[in-house]
Amino acid sequence: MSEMQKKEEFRTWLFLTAVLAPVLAVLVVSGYGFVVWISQIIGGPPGS
Amino acid sequence: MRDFLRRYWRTLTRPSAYYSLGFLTIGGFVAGVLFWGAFNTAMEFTNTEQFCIACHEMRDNVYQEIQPTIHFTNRSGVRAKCSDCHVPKDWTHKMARKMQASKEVWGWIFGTISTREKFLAKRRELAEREWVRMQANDSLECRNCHEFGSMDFTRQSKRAAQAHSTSLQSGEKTCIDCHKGIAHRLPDMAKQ
Amino acid sequence: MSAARGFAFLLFFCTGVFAQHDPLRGPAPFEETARPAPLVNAENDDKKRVRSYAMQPPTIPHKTDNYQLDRFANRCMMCHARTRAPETQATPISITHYVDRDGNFLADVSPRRYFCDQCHVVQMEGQPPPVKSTFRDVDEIIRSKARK
Repeated sequence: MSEMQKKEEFRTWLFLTAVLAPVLAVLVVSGYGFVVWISQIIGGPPGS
Repeated sequence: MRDFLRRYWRTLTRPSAYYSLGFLTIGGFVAGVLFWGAFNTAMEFTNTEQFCIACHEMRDNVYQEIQPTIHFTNRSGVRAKCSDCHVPKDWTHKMARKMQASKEVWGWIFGTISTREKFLAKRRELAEREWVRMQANDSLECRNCHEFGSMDFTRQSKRAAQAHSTSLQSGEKTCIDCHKGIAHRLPDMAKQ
Repeated sequence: MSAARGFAFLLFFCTGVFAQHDPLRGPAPFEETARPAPLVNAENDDKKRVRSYAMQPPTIPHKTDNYQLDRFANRCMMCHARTRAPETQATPISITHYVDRDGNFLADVSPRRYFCDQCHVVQMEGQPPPVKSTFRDVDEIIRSKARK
């Protein structure tokens, strides 16, 4: 049971670190970029 | 399947029994650093000239036009690449521009300017967009290299010194107002 | 027959013996490739030059590298148009440029005068003209006649 749990824990950690965190980071950053872009379409280019 | 998910959800939501805090934290941190490095490298790669001219629309049109100009070849060899003028340096605006580039990917897939004729038909609109952007941010991309405070009017020609010391100095005009067409050919400038 | 031979001899004589020197080509013999002169820049001092005769299109006193002049854009007119004069302090185009071929005065530059570089040129720095000119200014002719 404990060997199994250890394996599961490692795999969970690996999934979080190597898959979920990068994907979330990309999604958050690109989402932020999109929001800023749309606000630039509405409010004009930066500086105006 | 449901059993699988339930098991891993249990592992996810409970404290780790077998792995130390140090391993989890530092491992995550190192992975984060590696990720950010990879992300940034990929981002900067999309700012390279070879990336931009990978599309034939750019390579056969605007890249050909810039080659005889001073921003491409000059006595000192200091030159501008595509992103120096067309991609903002500020991180937020850079991300926004990269998201805006999805429009360009669309255009590449659906061939919005894939022939010379289509490109010529659309280029006034494309140019105006860039000019409006530069007028709004006071030609920030020009000023990334051309620092006004360091301009030596005594080294410029009479016309340049006269123009820069009057309307540029006062802020009445910005670089792009007079220097349209400095890098690529001008589109049809007949009044719309 | 003898006229043709005489002419051929004259030709041979001139090319062979006198070796007519082409100033644009330089001193290299005709069987060798001439070494081209190094490139020169245009004069860029904004100083008006004397015109050889009153109607001469003035030469351009500044460099015009990469100035776009085609059906899409006229870079010259961006400074030299009548409406741009106060801002640029550039000499506006002369009134003769507004006349079409039937003698009508137009509101803007006539299409026959649109391409400035058909008549106006820059002058290159430094060197004297490679071909000697024997042109005499009419002013000089009048004065020399008056002296007689």
